[in-house]
Amino acid sequence: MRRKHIILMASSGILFSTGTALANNPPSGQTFLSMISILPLMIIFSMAGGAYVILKKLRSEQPGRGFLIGGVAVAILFSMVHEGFAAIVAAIFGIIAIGRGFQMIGWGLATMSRGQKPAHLIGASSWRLISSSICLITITVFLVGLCLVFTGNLIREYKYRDLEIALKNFVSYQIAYAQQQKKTTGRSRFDQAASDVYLKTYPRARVEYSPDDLHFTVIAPPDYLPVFPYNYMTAAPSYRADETGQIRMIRVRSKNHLCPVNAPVIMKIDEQDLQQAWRTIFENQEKEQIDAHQAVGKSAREL
Amino acid sequence: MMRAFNRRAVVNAVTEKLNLQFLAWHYLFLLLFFVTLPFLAGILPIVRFTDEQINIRVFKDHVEMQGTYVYQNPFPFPVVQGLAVPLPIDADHPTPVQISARQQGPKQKPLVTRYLLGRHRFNLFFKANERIQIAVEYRQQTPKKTAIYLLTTTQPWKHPIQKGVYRLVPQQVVITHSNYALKPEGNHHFRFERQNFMPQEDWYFTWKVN
Repeated sequence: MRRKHIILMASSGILFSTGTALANNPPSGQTFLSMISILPLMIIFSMAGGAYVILKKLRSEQPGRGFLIGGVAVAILFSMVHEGFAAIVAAIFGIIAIGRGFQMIGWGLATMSRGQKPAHLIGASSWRLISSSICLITITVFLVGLCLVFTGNLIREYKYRDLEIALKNFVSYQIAYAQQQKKTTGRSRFDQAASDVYLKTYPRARVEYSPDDLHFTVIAPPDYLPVFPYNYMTAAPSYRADETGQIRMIRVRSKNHLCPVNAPVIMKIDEQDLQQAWRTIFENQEKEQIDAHQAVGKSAREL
Repeated sequence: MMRAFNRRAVVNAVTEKLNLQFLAWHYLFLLLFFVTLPFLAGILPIVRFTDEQINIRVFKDHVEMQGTYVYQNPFPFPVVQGLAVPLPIDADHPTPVQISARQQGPKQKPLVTRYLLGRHRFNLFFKANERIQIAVEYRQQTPKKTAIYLLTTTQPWKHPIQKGVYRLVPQQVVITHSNYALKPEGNHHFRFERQNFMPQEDWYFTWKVN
């Protein structure tokens, strides 16, 4: 009776905890979904392989099932506190499931041997045990990997939003700077030091200037993508921009995939952006002049 | 007495044969998993989508969309709802940029989006019966001076939205067509409004430069 109560309460815990996190839609809630899928898959593949028949023969008395289910319920509740905890719980569930998989492989190999079989393996099917265990291990490794790969800050999109703004500001500044240079010196040229200001937080972004200083190209491939096969579940933006004021982007699945020249234009520098850039240039010039005056005044005082 | 004995024997035999007693908790666990799977998998939404207010600023060659959305947790316990940002992308409408999402109420905080399986996704954490308002923004190039706002994405929510307000704010352009009839609002703005709204088509509009 007591055991039934424990099972009932733990089951309710799982139900409510699942309810609490139930809209972790895949793959946005891929961590939780992967984590919660591991044990059911272990049960399904254990059933398919006939592992429970062997386990029953091995265990004359069932170990505390109530505690086991209670532990699972507590682990699931714990995993809902933070995505990182879910990844830890997924790793623990994964170890349990993979352990079961190897146990089944061991039983399968023992069943295949020609010698006298242990009593608990009589009637067991080696191909069922081995094929189910291979499926179980493969899927579990994938799911645990999914949890670990997609947990954390690495593929969060706000970085790219900031990069888009930085690219827009950089390109509009360069166009305005070139216009200003043409007005004052009669020759258009770009400010090659500007990338240090606008793009310094994006180490993968690089600017190439043509030898005649009439053209520039910014190439900004993504700085992170998960390993295969998880990179096929996501895609990161790869950008290209130039002095025409067009910013192009495609989503790629490899860090080294550069945005091609003919990629779709996702942003164009407009009048408003150029006016903002002009303001920046004037402010910079004013600041330089003030600094110069202050430097002259300081030198004069020292003299 | 004899019948009862036989029945018990049969039940015991079946239980023994199918390992039912041994597997009872496994079946229970699997049942719980499969019952909750549609919610976990996002096939069934758990919270209600009740209101939306869309403001679209229309520029010469791009639009800036600002949407405010309200969701209600109907349950007396906390839930987490995964959401995806639907974006209108086709040959004439390139991928939107500067996509951002933030929670506006009851607490203000940025929402972290991830790009997974072709969509920008994020999670909302609801307390029991809580109502949350969020804001989503993006900018999209519009080389053909046409834009689409996806309204039919309300359909998977299975319930009509209680109130929707949709506004166009032209920026030195003239709106030339909209498949939803627009009413002028002060300051050269246009809008349409719907209550108990289950959209059957998306919102298309075009414009020309002054």
